[in-house]
Amino acid sequence: MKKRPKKIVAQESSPLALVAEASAQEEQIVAETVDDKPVGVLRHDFERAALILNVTGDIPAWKTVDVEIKTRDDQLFTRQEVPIRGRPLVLLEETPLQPEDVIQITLKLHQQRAPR
Amino acid sequence: MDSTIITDLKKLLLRARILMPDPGPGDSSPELQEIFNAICRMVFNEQAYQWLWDEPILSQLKWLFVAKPPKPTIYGQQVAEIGRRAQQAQRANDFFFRLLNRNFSVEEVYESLVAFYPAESSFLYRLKSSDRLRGIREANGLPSDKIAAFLGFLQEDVGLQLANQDPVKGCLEALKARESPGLVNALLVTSGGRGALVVRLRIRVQPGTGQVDDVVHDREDFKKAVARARHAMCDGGFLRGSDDVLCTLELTEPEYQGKSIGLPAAVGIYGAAKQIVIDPFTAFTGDINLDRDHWRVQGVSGLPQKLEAARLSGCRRVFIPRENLRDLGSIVRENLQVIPADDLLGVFLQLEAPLQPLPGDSLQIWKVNALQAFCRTHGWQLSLHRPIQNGVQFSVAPLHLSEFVISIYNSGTHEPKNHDRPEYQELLNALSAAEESRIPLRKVERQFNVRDLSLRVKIQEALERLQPAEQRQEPHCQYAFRFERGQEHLVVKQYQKGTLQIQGTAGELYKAVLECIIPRYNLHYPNAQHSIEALLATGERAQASTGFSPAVSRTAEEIPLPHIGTDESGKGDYFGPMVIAGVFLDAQTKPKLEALGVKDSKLLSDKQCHELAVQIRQICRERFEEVEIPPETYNKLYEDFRKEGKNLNLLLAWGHARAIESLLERLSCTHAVADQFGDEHYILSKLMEKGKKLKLVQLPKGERYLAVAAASILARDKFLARLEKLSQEYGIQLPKGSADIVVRAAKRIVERKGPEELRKVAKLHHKTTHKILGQG
Repeated sequence: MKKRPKKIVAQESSPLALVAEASAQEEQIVAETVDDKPVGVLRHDFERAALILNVTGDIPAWKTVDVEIKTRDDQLFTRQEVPIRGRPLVLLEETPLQPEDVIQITLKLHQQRAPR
Repeated sequence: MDSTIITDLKKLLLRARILMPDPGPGDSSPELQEIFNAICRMVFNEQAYQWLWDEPILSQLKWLFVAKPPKPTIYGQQVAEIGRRAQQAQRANDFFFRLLNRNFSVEEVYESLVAFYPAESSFLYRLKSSDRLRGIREANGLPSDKIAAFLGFLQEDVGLQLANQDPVKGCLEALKARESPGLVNALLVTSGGRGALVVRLRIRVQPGTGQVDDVVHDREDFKKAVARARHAMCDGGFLRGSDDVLCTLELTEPEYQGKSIGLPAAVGIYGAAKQIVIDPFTAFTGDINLDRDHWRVQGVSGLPQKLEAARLSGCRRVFIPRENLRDLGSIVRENLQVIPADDLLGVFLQLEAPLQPLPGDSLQIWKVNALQAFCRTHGWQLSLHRPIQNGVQFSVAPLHLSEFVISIYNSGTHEPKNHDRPEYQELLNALSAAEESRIPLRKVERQFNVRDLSLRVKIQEALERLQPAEQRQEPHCQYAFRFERGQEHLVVKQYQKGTLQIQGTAGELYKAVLECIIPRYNLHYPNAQHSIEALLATGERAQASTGFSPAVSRTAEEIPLPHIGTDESGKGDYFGPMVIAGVFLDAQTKPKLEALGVKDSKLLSDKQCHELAVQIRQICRERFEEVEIPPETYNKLYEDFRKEGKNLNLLLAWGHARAIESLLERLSCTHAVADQFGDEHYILSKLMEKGKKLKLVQLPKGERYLAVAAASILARDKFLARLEKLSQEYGIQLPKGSADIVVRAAKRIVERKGPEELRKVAKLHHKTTHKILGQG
């Protein structure tokens, strides 16, 4: 069963923000954009210990993104330079983080630092 | 413990086994991945790994996480914890299985205990000195009750606080959840034939019209295999032709192939019909089919995979068709007893399930039952059965006599018929008595005139309670019933003009029908002088027959209230008295005793027994009787009986009769129930000497009747109290049982007071006396 988020998190300064809401364990957790467009389903892959977004909607056609994940207990997890290749998007690796722990995911276009 | 998570985990693991019959690196279908993640969510996120003790689940989780390991850097600790718990659960269940199974010696039980609990070596000595293990194994009760009883014994008598240990407590609870009459582990191959599964098969048996209903799937091979199993059960006398069989499997998708279900279905029918729990450590596979007019267990496929599946599901014993033995080759059978099966009787005997004959059961079954009861009563070792041409064979081995072999054939005859030793002749006479005491099969053609409508209704109601196989609508008839039991069949018709007609061929069944009619008829027409005995003895010509059973048909529910239950204690204990107790059960005391949780005293520790006895005496007040035969009186009576050529059974009967007659002096009832220790005529004749008449039902495992169970508790408690008093008088702790520790205590008494003193404290006919006095 899919469950929609009940509230929209205020848009941050990032180019794109997604919202997620925890639900009962068997329920799929759907990620949506701040303007209510479904983006994909969040899941945890236990073999890889990875938090994965199975993309079903539209996401920007960037090559790589930086990921910021905010959890219910106000922790912030980040991962740099995540390639957007294919539909499953590995948001975090080597993590025990579960979809229901997440309240907000932010994808930012990866800014390559200019060489000195 | 969350039962929903357990149920869900079982289903998911079963599905994973189907999807991954042969684990390898390529196993990552989307469905498998989804199932794997769902399992992990339950185990890790719901933290089930911290409270799970169900061995089949733990073993399969271990298997799954070897095939598909969760990321070790994140989940390594939890996976290791599951491995540890699986190992602990395996050891605890090894111990449980061994203590339930009489094939394991006391040393082997001890060995399995010290594998997970640091028990001192003196414990083995105390265990061997006590008779509790044997008593518990022989007691009537659920496997988990027997284990709990043994744990209680360890705590109270040996001081081992094992019952509170997490693995033991958890595994016992998990085992309990897997126990139910009619529930059986079936070993089946998956549809592709690459793997095998243990699937729980649940059978229900209910009065009906002989239908088989499977709520599984529509595979023809499956349906036919179950139908064959049902036929075999009916032909073997284990099931009434009119009983409906309903079977369900915990996994209803058609993921397995069918005919291996035959043997599990037959065992499930047996358990459901007789309300027997088959221990969850045992699994079955095999087809049941006709082979030269005899139903046999026939070969099936996928044995190597099935054994692996059994191991993964926590099974320790599997029954397979004998012809499949050759398929096993070099397969490691470590921790798995593989038992070849030839026919159903053999399987039921191996399971050590009480056979409890029903009307229509074969004479062979009744004789096997009589043999078991005789050996149990006399404390004789009885071997497991050996299949022989057209029958089964047993070795009887009393400690003081040479081994004796008895064959009981499918036809109902037994060999030998005679033996030089009087002890063995007594056993052979008991088997012959089975034939003689049967009501012979005869053609029945009998009519009564029942004009009164209210009497017709009463008789009709009584006949309906006898569970007719068919109720017919016939012209000019108020009702028409057809009864079937094995080879017996009767049609009873009540014509509107008044004629009540009974027709057919029957023996015991005829008696049961007459019992519905005659008492009501005589009550309604006081001048009528019909007697069931007279009707059975005259009029009809008895047919020579084999294959019919004596009247041991009543189930616990069928014995009308009020009734008396009797049981004895101390018979197998060298020291102390023999105590026989009787409990009068009526509508007032029944619910109170049920609420107390009264059960066979062999399943209770001494402390529990005492606590329950105090409450039973309070509840029953004037409705119980305790007859104590002190050692000196016991020895005198025993010697007198022996002089008259009588045996211990008569002494027992004398005690039971005394308890019954004392109760009948102040209360009135028509039925009494006792555990079977010999011919029921022993007790009846003793009662009749005193002019007391009642219907006595003697059955093996009589303790399943509430009144008998309550009596067993009172008798045991009184025995223990007297033994304690004797111990105080002599200043020596007089042990229970009859093992070596008893010999030492007795020698001390002889040293202090001389051999004659033993008469006052012990039962001298035990062979222990020879050991003590050096005559053996």
